[in-house]
Amino acid sequence: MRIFAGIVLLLGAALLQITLFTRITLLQGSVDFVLLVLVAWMLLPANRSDWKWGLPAGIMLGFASALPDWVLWIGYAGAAGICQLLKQRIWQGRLLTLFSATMLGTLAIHLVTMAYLFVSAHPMDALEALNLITVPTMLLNLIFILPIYAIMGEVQKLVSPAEGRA
Amino acid sequence: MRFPKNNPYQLVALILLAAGLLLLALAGYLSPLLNSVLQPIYGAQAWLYDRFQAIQDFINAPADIARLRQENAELNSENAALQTQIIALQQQVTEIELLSALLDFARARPENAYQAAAVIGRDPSPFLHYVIINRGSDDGIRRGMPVVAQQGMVGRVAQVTANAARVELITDPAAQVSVRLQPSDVDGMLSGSIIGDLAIDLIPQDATLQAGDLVFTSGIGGLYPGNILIGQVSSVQQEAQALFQTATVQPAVDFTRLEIVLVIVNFQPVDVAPLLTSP
Repeated sequence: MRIFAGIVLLLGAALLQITLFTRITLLQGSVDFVLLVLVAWMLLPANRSDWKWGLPAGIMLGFASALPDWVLWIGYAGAAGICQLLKQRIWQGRLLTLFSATMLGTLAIHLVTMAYLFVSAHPMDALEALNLITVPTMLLNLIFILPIYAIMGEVQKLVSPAEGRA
Repeated sequence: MRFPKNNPYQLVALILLAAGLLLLALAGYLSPLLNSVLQPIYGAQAWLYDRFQAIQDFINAPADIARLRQENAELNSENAALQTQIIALQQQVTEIELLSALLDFARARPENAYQAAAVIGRDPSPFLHYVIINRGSDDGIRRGMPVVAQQGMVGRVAQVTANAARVELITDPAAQVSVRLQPSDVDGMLSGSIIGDLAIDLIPQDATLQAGDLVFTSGIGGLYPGNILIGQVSSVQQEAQALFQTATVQPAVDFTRLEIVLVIVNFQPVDVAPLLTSP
């Protein structure tokens, strides 16, 4: 049930990301709603963290993105892996884990994307990309992560009330 | 009332009296007298009416409040429905204005056949500049078809499914468009970037350019049709030791507010890649 709910959530997040959240921009960065849902879902105390959660997220975005699927799989699996590591190591500081996972997850996805663009000979200034895309995206993600974490907590309670109280 | 039948004088006197009073009343001489008599009566009548009305309101008040509340709820509901209708109509007006502008664009180029499409999504990666439209191969959309808006060039179809297509915008870092600058009439190569800026390269050093020059597609290369507006030059960079000049371009299309686009369905892109490979 929990896996099914997680996949449905990621699917909904991917749809919202494509239609709505790409319009919420700061400079050239935009909110990565799928990453935020992934991070919030994985860091809920009742849910088990697993880097494999990144794969369905990458697959769902792969349908809409012009980036090769494997770039998204690696990026989101990397972000999920960071969540898994952080949850195991600094599990007591939930806010710290949440913000760290958001920042490092954003960075992981953007670094993989930039590496692909660099290798595929797209003209790119890395510093410009960092200043105008990655940092604004990170800032937007940090702003949105807390409300999304709260919403995910409520969803968790609806999906499995007994585990949601854990 | 009993009329005095036996005394005709009394009858005549009464008639004369009545006629006199009538004449005095018609002439207005009795008004002060009547007013002074009627004023207390009016006062008493008003006092009685007010009290009666107060009692009636007191008795009927609960029913009226319930009725008023119901009316209020109905009016609120009607108001909400009308507001919704206004918003829907405003959206329709905006859409009609957009379609009208697109129709003007299409009429100005009758040699092309167009398929209108709505933008239904954007690429989730902020590094790439693609939009998703709600027309696909079932509607005659094919890979490579150019896409325009009423202001000018948008991009070209990069990938097609049955009911949707992905359009590569000219601002995408992978996009390259052969352009011609007016009025200098020189050619260049326009390319996008990850932050959505447009720049023209390969402009001959001897060309005279200035900010405000218009940039059109040249049609060279066979990927885009010619003479479609792209934007205007915002600045020119010329270095003495460089082989070519470069220029930055302000696009005519506002890509952040793209809603409806036209796909040129009768344009056949030419793939010149085989001609460029050395034997």
